[in-house]
Amino acid sequence: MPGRNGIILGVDDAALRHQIYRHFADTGDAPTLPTLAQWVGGEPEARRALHRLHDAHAVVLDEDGTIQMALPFSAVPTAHKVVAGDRSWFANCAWDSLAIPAALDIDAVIESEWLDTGEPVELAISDGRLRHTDGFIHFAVPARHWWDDIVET
Amino acid sequence: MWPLTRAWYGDRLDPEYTGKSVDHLQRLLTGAGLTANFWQLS
Repeated sequence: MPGRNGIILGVDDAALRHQIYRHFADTGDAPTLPTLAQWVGGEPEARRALHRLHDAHAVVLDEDGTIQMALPFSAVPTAHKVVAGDRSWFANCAWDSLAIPAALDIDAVIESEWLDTGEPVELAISDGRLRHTDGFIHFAVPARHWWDDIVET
Repeated sequence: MWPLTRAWYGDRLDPEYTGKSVDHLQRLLTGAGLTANFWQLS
């Protein structure tokens, strides 16, 4: 099945995408370029593969070609942190902070602040259910424009 | 929000994951009651 922008990943790129996601899940961070180079047989191929994954919306690269996002994971610290025991991950946005426990199928606590009051968010996933469901997640960008600038979205 | 999130992201770590089509994602939004023009993906 093609991705949202219609690009179909090759077998090798799909496997690399999964390795990147697995790395985020296991470590809370993106794999470095040297690590990616080890996986694919060299830095030039790693860079080419990353750009193919970026074009397919499988990852988001920054201006230097480094992984910035693999939705819902963020490789850079954000205001939305997901904590499960001694493990933690940064999410790209409020929705992604729910998406990380959903993707990992784990119980977790969301550490963030309500945008309007600055009060701590008290959201948790336990036994596979969202607790403390009062509140709103604000989407500022219409859905058809989410990928116009996914970092801004 | 939680059921939509699980449906949208729950398979993201599956080794066989290859993405979801726009039609599929639109159905997920519709199923969550998000039917206004704001939520149209294309």
